[in-house]
Amino acid sequence: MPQNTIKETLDKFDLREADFKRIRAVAPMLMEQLDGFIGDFYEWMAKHREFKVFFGTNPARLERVKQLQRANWDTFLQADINEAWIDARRHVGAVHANIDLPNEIYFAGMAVSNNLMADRIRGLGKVVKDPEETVKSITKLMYLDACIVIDEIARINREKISASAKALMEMSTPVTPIWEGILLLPLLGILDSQRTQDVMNKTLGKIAETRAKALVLDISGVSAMDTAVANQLLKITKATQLMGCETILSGLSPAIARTLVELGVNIGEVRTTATLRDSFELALRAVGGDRRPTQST
Amino acid sequence: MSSSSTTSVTGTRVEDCLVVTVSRDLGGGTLDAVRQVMLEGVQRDGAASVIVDTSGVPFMDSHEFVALRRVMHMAELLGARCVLVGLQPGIIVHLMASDTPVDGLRAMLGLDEALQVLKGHGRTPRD
Repeated sequence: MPQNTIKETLDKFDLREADFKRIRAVAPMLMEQLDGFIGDFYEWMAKHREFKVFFGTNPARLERVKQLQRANWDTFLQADINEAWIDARRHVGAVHANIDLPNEIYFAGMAVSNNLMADRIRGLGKVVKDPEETVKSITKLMYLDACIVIDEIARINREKISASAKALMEMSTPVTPIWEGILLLPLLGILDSQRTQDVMNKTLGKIAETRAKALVLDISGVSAMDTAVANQLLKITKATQLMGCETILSGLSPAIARTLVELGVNIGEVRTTATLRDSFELALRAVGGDRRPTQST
Repeated sequence: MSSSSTTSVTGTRVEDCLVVTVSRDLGGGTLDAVRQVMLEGVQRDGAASVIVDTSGVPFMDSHEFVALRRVMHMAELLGARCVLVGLQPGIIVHLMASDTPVDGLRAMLGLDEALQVLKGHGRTPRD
């Protein structure tokens, strides 16, 4: 976050230099009470289910998290809002995103922290010039802190989603070399023109890359077969033939064979087999992988 | 081995096979050059087979593709076996999208494969 946007954000949260001055004034006194504060916080947390989930089996983790929280409040109370301060909050967000901490317990925790902090400021007595104003300042800063943390959690989750969407796309057309010169592409689900385009691009790229001579297209996982789907399959077949690669359709079920014939689809010269085994045998013959000298025409 | 060339179409003789290499798109007289190189190679020099290498052709629309196939058909009428090699995947995707008829065309991935087929060690998906 560049400097001017930091200023903008601070404006939005109505955080002024006076707020930071008030916070810095009470910071040393609050730091003295920090251990008691953190103790109270985890006493509250222990009452909730999440405590068991995150710390139930691992007392060492609780100690480490307490250390981290100490460091976190230390920078928080220094109230010096710069890149480093914001990065520290982002890091807290990243940690929480990694352990999938529910937002509910995070916000509840921030509210409790805010109350505990306010109680302590009021308890300091006469040393603090204006306790209520100080409490307000701390609350504002805490909202900013929570906002950055939640923002980071949301960003990480968005990243996770887009990464898995990409992975899903990749997985939907897994063109795999299974033998020298033979590619296998099992098709699953629904074939539409968008999907065929994707399949065609991937397949042609892979043929050029592996110099394959045969492609086994396993359609046992294709859920519905009609004229459109059959035409799409024919297109893939023709496209691969233009790269000197023969396509063999495998996994035709009796139902699909019947549909194709009843729809009057002319699948032309495309070779089809019922089982993957038969297709593989044809493919091996096509690439000369059965180690017998092939007869040329 | 002998060779003849125009600006962007080269005919190279490998044994009794004529390799026609096209190194730009087929517009602007390139196709005429292809026809000339190909038919001369078959008729005058007696090439038994022709390999058209289009791996250097970046774009090809369906009209140009059909025209190229017509030229290849002419050579076939003169008795030569014709194989098309090196079609770019992008071009193929376009041809499929525009429903260009491709039936009956012998195509291979690269020169190596095509030469092997023409020497009788292997076959194209069409054979």
